[in-house]
Amino acid sequence: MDTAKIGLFEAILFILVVITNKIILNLPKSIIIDCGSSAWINVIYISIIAIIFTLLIVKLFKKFEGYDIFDVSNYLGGGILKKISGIGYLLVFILVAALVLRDFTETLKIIYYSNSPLTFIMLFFLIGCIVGNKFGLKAIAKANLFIMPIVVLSIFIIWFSSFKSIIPERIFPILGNGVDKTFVSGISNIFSYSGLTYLFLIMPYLKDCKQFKKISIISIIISSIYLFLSVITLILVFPYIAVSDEANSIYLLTRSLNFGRLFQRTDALFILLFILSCLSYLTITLFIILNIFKKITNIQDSKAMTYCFCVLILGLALIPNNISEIRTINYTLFRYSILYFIFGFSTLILILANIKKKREKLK
Amino acid sequence: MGNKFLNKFTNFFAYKQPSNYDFTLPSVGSLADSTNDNTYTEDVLDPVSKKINSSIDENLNYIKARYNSLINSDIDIREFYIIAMDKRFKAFLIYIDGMTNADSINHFILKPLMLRNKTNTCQKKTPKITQDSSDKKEFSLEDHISNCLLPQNKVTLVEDFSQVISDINMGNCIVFVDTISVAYSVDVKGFKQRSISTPQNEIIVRGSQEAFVETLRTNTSILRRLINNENLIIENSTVGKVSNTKVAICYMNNIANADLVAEVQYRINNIEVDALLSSGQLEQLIQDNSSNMFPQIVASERPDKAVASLLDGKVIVIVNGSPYVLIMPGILNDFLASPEDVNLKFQFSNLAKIIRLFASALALLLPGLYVAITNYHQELLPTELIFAIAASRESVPFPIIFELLLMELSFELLREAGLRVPSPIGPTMGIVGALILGDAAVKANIVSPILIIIVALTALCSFAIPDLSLNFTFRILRFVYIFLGYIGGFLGIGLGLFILLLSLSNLTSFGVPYVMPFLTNVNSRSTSAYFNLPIWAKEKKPKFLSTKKTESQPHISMRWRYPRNHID
Repeated sequence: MDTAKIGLFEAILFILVVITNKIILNLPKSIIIDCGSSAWINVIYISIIAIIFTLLIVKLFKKFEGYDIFDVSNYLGGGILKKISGIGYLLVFILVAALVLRDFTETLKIIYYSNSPLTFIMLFFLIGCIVGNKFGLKAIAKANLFIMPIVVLSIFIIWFSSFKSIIPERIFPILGNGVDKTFVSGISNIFSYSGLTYLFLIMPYLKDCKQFKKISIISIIISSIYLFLSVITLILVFPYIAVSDEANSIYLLTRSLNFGRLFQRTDALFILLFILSCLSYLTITLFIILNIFKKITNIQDSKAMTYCFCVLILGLALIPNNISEIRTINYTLFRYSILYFIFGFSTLILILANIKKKREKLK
Repeated sequence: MGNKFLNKFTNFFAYKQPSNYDFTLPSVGSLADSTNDNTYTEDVLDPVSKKINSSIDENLNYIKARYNSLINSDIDIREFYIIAMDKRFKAFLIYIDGMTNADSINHFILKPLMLRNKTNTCQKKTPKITQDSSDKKEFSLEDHISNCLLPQNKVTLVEDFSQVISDINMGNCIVFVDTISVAYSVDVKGFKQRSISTPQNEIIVRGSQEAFVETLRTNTSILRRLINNENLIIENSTVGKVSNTKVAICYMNNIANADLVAEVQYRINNIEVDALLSSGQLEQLIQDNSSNMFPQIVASERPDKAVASLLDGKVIVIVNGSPYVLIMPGILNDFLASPEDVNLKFQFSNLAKIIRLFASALALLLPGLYVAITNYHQELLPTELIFAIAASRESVPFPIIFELLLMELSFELLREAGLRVPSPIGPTMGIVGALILGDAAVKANIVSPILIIIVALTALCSFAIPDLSLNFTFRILRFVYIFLGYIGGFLGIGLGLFILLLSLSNLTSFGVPYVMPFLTNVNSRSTSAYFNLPIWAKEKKPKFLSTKKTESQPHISMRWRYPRNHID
């Protein structure tokens, strides 16, 4: 049984890896498509909501130190509720893993590996996931601790190197596609913060549960800044991004970079870092999947299931016919499953569990 | 054949129980509660622990049988009579010819025991050295021989044969006397040994030019000379049921974590092998993860490096017969550090460290990256360079991977052969390598000139890695990256790097995470940081070693500079 615990930085980067990969996998473009030039206002708006939501989660978890959402479900509704929430989370994470795997693989195929079969490219990621999960949480968290700062730094380099292409006037019209798109229907863009899901699960893996508040707030603030910078850079550099067919908007930014005559096309180097980031994300997701499975089935060591879940993810990732289907699933099914299941169902469980706790205390 | 493959395939995917052995170094706070169950038991080392008999004939027969004295030509047994209190007692002594000093045996053992003199002919039975009348003892032959008849600086009374045999093997002379059930182990070692010379493989410019030798006691004496402190503990142990190799565990009692010391003792005392011939063998027997290629214990021939590690709170193990001592725990940082670093100003050493880090990365990845870039990511290179590479490869009929593997294997061959050839023809190897494999291969259109540059640069970089074991690891991994770069370009390289990071992150050496100073747990102003701090700023011991003493020096070490500010 993997009893390893993770520290403050490891936990923050555990959550940050989600937003980083979302940014790499075209999340900023989807927000720009929704809101137009007001996408940056939308990001500020959803970031404020996400921070408030994070504070709420922290508050609700205060009475359940060391618990994850399944332990809280068990406390509230016994084994049945625990299993229901467990299966729900399991399906969401398998869906996430499959979508990310297929999306990133398709992007790579378009850019570099047009002659290679999709399954061949996917196998590289799945091998990484399997090996990572054989090593366990501590190794995964530490490898992520190595990779994420470099990836985050590389994305910052991309933004700052794009400064020369920035035209401030592109921010207009300020309200982009309208107030409604920015503030009302635009609220669904909060799915960008799907990394919040990890907050419901991360507590048992923390070395010091008292740092949960710190971890949650720091990670959500960094994610917000990160998302904001990527959206604003894209708006100011590529106003046409919303209508272009580019598979990957950040990759488009890297294509525009050149450092003198020596390095005219450095995008491959950034792709290498994005590959590492994606490997790390998928490994973490598989680790979470295995641990959810372990929680709901009470098996002693879930590592034996690694191959099974990898095959399941591979199969699921191969179902969509093309990248546009993947993106459609991403922006519809995934968006609303995150919204309703994570933000709705999980928060409801936490609120009810808190009420139960309060009543028990009164009794 | 088919079944064998099927079994292997099934085993690969089958569930395996996780390993139960997991030692982690506790923090300093928990040291008080720690108990050491790993106590040394002599029975484990030598199950046949026969006691010495008071009958000399029985002892003599036993010793003759154990040593096959009729066959063994260098086992000398000398039977004689000793005179004590003017009485004669039958006695014999045993030693190994060539390991003892014959003059010492003749003049300081046999002469006082055999020849008549004032001491052995004295009739008084009670020694007059006691001050208190209650301490008056009966005459004891055992004490009398030890105190009056053996004028040697180191005489030990031993009671069982396991100790007797161990001492004989180490070069002592053992004296047995009739009627007493102990033997006298007299230190008369006198074997020939290599004198202390300069290091052969860890050569530096400004530091000490002294290296360890094969003799354990000489090595411990070097440590004693360099650390003039009573807290340096040198514990002895024995490994090898047949070879009975002496091993010394050295640590600073007031610095090293007690649990770390206990773990080292536990691992060394629980090795069941017939023979231990070198520290390299011991390293493989006590390291945390034997399947991981990365070295987990530092091997050094330099006493200054060993002493610096002792003062950091690490444990040193010296194996008799090996000029390399083992320093544990070993983390990645240790294998990338050169002993020269501490002798240079921090700016110089840090420049060297940056170069070394860069060289390590190139030694590992350059050929793999070359294959990946030329096969998949050509746009990364400047246009002119792409044209140059394409032009140079125009007449080469082989694919890049073949070219590269051919040259890499040739270079490995050259390196291996270079180690074996006698030194007078060593330069010939260089000429053969440079001319035949380089120039001739290019002229014959077997490889392209750019590839020669890649292979040569990789070789240069690999020589910049200070540690031999790490160099070996990188040499093997380089081929893995070439393969990954060939099949997947940067995707393959990315996967390789990810697995390498996972593997390094998972690795521990005596409970200390292998990549520790590169990640968390780095205390500022510590001696453990990757980049060297100025010597006055190295105020802390490495935090990850959980040392008893956490400070290396006070906040103000150069008191002459701040005479009023210092606090005692």
